[in-house]
Amino acid sequence: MRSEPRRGLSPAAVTLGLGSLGGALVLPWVIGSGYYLQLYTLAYVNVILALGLNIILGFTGQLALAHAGLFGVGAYTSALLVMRLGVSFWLALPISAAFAAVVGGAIGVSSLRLKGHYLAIATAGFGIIIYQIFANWISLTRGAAALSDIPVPTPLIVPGLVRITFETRTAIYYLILAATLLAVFVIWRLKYSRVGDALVAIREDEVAAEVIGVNTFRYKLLAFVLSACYAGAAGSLYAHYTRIIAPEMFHLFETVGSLLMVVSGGLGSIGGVIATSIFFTIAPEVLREVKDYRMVAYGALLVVVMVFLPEGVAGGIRRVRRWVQPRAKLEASVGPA
Amino acid sequence: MTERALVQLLSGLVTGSVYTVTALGLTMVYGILNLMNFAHGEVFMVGAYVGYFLASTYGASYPVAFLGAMLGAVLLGLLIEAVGFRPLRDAPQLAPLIASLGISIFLQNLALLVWSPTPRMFQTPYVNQVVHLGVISLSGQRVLVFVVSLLLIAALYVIVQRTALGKAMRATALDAEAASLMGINIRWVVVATFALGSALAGAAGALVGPIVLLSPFMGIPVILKAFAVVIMGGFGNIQGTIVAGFLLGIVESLAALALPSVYIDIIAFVMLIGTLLVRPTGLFAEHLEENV
Repeated sequence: MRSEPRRGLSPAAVTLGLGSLGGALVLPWVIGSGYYLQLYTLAYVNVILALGLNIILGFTGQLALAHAGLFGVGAYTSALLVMRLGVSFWLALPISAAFAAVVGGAIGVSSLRLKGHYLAIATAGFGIIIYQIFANWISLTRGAAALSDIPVPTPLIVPGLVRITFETRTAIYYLILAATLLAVFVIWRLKYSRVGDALVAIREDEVAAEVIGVNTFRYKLLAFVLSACYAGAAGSLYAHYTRIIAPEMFHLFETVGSLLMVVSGGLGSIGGVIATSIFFTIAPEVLREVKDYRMVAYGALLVVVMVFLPEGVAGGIRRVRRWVQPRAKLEASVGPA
Repeated sequence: MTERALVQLLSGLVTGSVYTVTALGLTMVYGILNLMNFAHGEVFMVGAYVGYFLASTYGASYPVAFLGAMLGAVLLGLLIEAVGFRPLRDAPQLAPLIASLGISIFLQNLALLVWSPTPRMFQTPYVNQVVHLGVISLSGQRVLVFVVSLLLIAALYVIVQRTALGKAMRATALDAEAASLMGINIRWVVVATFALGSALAGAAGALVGPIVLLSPFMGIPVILKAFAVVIMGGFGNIQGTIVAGFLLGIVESLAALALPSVYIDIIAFVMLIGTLLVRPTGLFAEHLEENV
């Protein structure tokens, strides 16, 4: 797992990024507001979720498995605030992100002192406990009967200026696209900040990071809280988009989906994880025949990626570029080490 | 009341013996490779299914089905080692951890497709027999689970402490590099450890199968509890794992007297997280600085 060779973006990456953004903006005109638009909307939720996992797993190198549970915390908090207390969606969204962050922080405080496998197991335990709460606190969550008829986001009104309603699928598509862009922007700034450097230092060698003065516990906790915040926000958007949530959606093993998106995109890569998140949301739906085999394929792919492509597609592309570029040009573009 | 408590205590010993047998395989692999194997629960699950099919479809007697389950589990364990662990020997620790999680998900869902989600009942002649012990009575299968588990634990203990293989395993766990310089073939030690651990998991599956219903996901609660036991016992510590396994079984069974069943499955995690916070090296730590 090597660190990124340089900061800033290559012209190719800028072109690709702007192209994708343009494509995302005009997508509803191209594919209409039917099933495929819904898939893309769902894919963006998965992008936010996977980017959140990328902060703790990709940047910081900590395998935290409570992610689906925290996604659920966001979803249930938001849905219940709106349905039971009549809170506006625009307030419920930040509250549910913040609440997931608080829960994530509590989990982090009690488990982040632990390394690798300890952390994976402790967070898996918390994931199970969260799931059990969703499934068994029936008076609050309705348990397995699912919480349905969650209202769509309330209209966004800036007095005298605009009034945006979210009754149509297309409007929600743009809302979730906007949230995704914000999530991408924040994680991009984070990656190239001092905090990002500290997180990567922890991933590469925790003891060395401590020695050069990184307060590893505090930075790991920060990464965990941010990661939970992403999961919570994604949960809120998901709940008001699909309008029905059930405990099964937030089971421990649902984390595997996000996990595959992060490792196949490339641990710590932003563009790679965005691409694989969209791919792994849409591909199983398009290839109907493989839909039943989705989880079998996910499991097998996790192994294949770890063995053959440990740096994900992002690392794979870097490797290919290193092959095809002439040596002198390569050195010029990478710069002195 | 005391009678009920006594029944629960005995039933706790039975469950505890199963947790111990499953956790021993995990902790041995950890001792050698410093890795947790998420797919160990699926070895347990496949063991139960192999035993079930041998007994119900092919009419094998229970002892034959039991040995067949152990054999099937060994083959699966070796396959898991070859596919998910050996290629990642030199990779960062995260890689084999994620790979074993992938294998676990893969096997669960493959079992779901091949064997369907319908729960199956593994019938043995001992399930309906009743054994009377003074005022209390237990099903024959439960007595069998307990007795066979104790024998397996004893056998493992003898292998680890008294044989050349066990000595090689202990040496590798202590310092793999030094062991290899002393002429120990580390690769074979790893393979033997996986084989032994998987045999135990398969045996546990074939023992418990007749008490619980078989399903493709039956390994999940077992693996998570085995993890809890491994951590409480202190990673790689065999004596600690034995004590912790029985302790968890007994605490769970006694808690069932007072708590609704939903909370029973959470006890393991509460004990686990409590241990991690108070004594992260396990209840019976030997090497304090090594584990954390």
